[in-house]
Amino acid sequence: MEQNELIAGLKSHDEEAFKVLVEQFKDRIYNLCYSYVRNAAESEDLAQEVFIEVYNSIGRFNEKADLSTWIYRITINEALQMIRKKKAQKRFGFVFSLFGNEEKYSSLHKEEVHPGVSLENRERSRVLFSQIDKLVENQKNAFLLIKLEGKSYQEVADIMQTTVSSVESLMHRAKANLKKWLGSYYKITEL
Amino acid sequence: MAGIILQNHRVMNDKLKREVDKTIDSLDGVAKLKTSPYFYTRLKARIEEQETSWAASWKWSLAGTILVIILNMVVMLNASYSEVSEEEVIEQLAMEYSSQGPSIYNNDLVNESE
Repeated sequence: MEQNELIAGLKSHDEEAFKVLVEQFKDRIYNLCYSYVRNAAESEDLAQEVFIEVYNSIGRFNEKADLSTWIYRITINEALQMIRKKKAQKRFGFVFSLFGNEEKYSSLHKEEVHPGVSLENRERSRVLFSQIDKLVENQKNAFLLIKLEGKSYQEVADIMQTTVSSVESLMHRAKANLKKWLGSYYKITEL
Repeated sequence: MAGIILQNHRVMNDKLKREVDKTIDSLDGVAKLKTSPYFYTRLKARIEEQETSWAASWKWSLAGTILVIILNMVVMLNASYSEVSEEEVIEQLAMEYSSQGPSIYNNDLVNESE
């Protein structure tokens, strides 16, 4: 199905067109969601939220724009929103833990080691993700899209609605920060 | 002695740098994950649930609006049936706004009769 045909179908809420879109994007969106929330159940939930948002707001989509870029943008926004909500819930959970309801809240949102990482790199990736979480949102978006999703600088610039040189700069700063923080981490743990 | 310390320091730094680089590269070649086979079925169910809840909320708001309109009409009809004459209204107003104590006009009336 051509993109124009697909968009026309989506705009008229045609079920077949929506199914084609989901089949085409579900794994890519799920992978991107996982790199943000690192929990299988939450990632699936988030990926579904993305498709529901696409279904609801396809009417506002500009047909001249790239559908894939638009869906990636929605995914990043939804993921960042979920992370903010999780942080707020964690703070709330801390208050509850003071009253003895710790178990109920600590079982929620448990972060897992990325299942796609090879066995020998599991511990390293866990350490790396804990440092990635400290990056500011723009640096984090650029780093995850390039390093984990294998997107080009141009694609990332389109998704983030910025220039290639801005993405290069974000990536450079993200790497520099990660190197600095990982250096401190390994110094403390004395290798 | 200073040379040995410097060399140890350099070895440590190199080791640290290697560790950091290896950690940053640990995400290279990560295998892609797959969604569960029921992904689309669950998604469809969520969309349908959303649509039925929207339809239900529409029905409720429509019912509420109709009820408000009917109540307004009933009140307006009742108001038009209970017509009060102009004289009665003036009388009622006069009673509500008349002062209870004696006024200066009452005094004048008393003086005239004397």
